[in-house]
Amino acid sequence: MNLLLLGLFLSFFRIGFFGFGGGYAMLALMEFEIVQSHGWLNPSEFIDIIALAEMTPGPVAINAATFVGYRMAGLGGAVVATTGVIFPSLLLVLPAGWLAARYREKKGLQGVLDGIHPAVISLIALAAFVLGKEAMLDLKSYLISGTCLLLLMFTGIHPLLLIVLAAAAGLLFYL
Amino acid sequence: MKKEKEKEDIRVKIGEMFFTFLKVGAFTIGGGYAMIPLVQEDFIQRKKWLTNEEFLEILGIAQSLPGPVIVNFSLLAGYRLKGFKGGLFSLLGAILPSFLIIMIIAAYLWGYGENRAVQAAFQGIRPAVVALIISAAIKLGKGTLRQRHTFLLFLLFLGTLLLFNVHPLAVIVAGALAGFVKPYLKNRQGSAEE
Repeated sequence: MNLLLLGLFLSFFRIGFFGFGGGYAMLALMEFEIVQSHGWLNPSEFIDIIALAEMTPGPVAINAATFVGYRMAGLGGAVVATTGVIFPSLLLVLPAGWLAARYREKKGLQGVLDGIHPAVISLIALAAFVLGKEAMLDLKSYLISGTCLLLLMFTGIHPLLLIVLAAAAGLLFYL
Repeated sequence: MKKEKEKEDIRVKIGEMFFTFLKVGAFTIGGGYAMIPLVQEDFIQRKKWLTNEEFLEILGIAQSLPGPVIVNFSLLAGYRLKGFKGGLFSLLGAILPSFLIIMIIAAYLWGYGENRAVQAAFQGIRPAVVALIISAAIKLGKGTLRQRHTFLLFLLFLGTLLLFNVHPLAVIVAGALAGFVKPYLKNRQGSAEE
């Protein structure tokens, strides 16, 4: 039990510590820790958590930490996992804010951040591939995904509304 | 560490900051980024706790550090206004609503996953989630992948990730290194860009 709590804390600490780029960029790392390394969730449960995170307030990483922690070890697990994911911020943010204010002009720091950008976007694309394998099972799912992508790119539809519409499409196609 | 500004006469209370972030945390759906415009409105336009420049500076730092953006942002903004305690309570306010809501769902509602209608709905939702992720990549890429070398790095990283199943951290480190080395290479070639 205590080992499980320690494992939860360390896993989510790593997600917080190495999760550059926020939200979607952290998905690949979360999938690696939660699904591949520990098997705490299966792949489709993981996608469902992301959908759930879209429908509820708050950042995806916090939602996933709370959910996985609770599922694995109850209230204590939820607290431990959520603390794990915010702990790196507690350690890093204040010194980094101070440093960044002092060294903002230095070329090196800006270059490092510029180099991280393409890496972050490649991680988001990876998450799309990995989750796509699980979500795209037939022609209808490609149809739903394609329509959603067009709506997102050209109408500025709210993600919540998009998910409600997709749920309706799911009921129509699969029930 | 206090800035010698007109901050003194704007009396910021820790409790008020906590409740501001609590409200933002409770009512913004769709991930951490959705929370930022609300904070902007509350902190700058209504309460005038931060100037626009301060807000953008804090947001920039919050985005370049690891971890959820709103977690970093609430810590930094709270710290700027009220020290460490201010940062801690702002953070608590920002994450408490999602923590409680997910707890309730995990405890009471997740069991309905066996229901056939719920299953069908989620089968429709999963492709939509993939579309959301792709659109996030496209929107971010539009801004930063314009230059040829960043686009090539992106392709290289994605290829490596897909073919070799490397740890996600590897590409972050490689990107940071590439970005760090690049200005020096440029200087040696003597090309005077920007």
